[in-house]
Amino acid sequence: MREIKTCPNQEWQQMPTEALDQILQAELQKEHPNEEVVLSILRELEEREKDIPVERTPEILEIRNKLNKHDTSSKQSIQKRRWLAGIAAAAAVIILVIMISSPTAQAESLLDILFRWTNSIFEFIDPNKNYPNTEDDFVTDNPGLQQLYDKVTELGVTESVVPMWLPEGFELSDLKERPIPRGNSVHSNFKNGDNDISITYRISTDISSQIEKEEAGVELFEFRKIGHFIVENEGALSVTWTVDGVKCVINTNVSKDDIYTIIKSIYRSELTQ
Amino acid sequence: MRKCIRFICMILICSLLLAVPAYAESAAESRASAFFSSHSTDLYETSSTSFQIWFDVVSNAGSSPQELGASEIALYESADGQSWTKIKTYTMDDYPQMVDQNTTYHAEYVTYDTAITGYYYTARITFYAKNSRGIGELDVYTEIIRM
Repeated sequence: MREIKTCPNQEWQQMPTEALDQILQAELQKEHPNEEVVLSILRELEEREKDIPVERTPEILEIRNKLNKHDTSSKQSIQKRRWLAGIAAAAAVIILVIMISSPTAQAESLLDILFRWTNSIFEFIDPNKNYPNTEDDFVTDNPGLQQLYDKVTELGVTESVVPMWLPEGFELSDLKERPIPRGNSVHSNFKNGDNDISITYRISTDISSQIEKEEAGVELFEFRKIGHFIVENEGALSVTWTVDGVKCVINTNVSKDDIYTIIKSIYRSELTQ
Repeated sequence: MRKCIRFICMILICSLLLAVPAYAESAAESRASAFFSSHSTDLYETSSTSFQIWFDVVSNAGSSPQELGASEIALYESADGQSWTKIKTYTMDDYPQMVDQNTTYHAEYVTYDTAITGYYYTARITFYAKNSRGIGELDVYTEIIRM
């Protein structure tokens, strides 16, 4: 039977018409006739009848009519499927265009943050990637960051929120702790010539902060399963994220690549560029 | 085939129509500032008749402010939460602590202690920064509280 399925026409061509009729009748009497066999025999018989018309039993004629109808509806179904495939392709193209022209946050949310892109780069992200884990130790070459870490820790923050790396040449120029409603704030500013990196923590359960931004969208940079939102503001970049009731904001005019490294360094990862 | 093209065109038109309000919304919300990067405000109740009007502000990177804080706080009161009356104005001239010098962050509050129980309150805070290039101001409204 397997041979008939794979190459039926050659078999039927060598058989006399009566034998084909018998096989067809036998197949049709089965509870579940093999459609492929029935169809191929009928096609073979049809070919032969082009030259010499043959009378068929009403049963076979009925089946043939049914199959012809089936063929027509199959063609319609194929046309319908092609049409739907066309629409699906068009929809996919539209979604892709919208994703490309939209802020990356939208695109990433659609695909569970498996990748991100900017105007200049596209990269895959593996938030679960294993990096050297030294979470018990805060290690930094920048004494200002150490002071900031000590201040934040003093206020009871146990989560990793302070970067361990800043670009070379940045020195602490401002470090303040202030009481705010239902909590405290810690602000630090690091300076290198005209460049600033300010890091602000609002440690309060009930304070909402607003970040100034340009029209350009919000970029979501997810690292260690924490969403860091990056916005542009008049030549500067602001990154904001929340960890365990601590609202964190970094504002700077260093490059975006440096921003990514600063963020990663919070989680004791990729301390070198 | 024509139907298919017509349908695709229809989808494209719908996408564009949906995209326009989204763009309009983001444009309306956009408010870049060369002077300020982030700020917070709060009305913090300290008793049944008094509250603090609290704010903090961070300057934008590279702006090197000589002065930073709030130049004015206007307090509004309402009996029904609909119709508002300005009842008090705090200025940096009267309350110099509202502004700090040569800093990139300032947090401060002023107190209002004659609030009426059951009334609504909100405040407009005018953030202020001054550097060698000029002065920047930004109005932000606090939340509404009911005493």
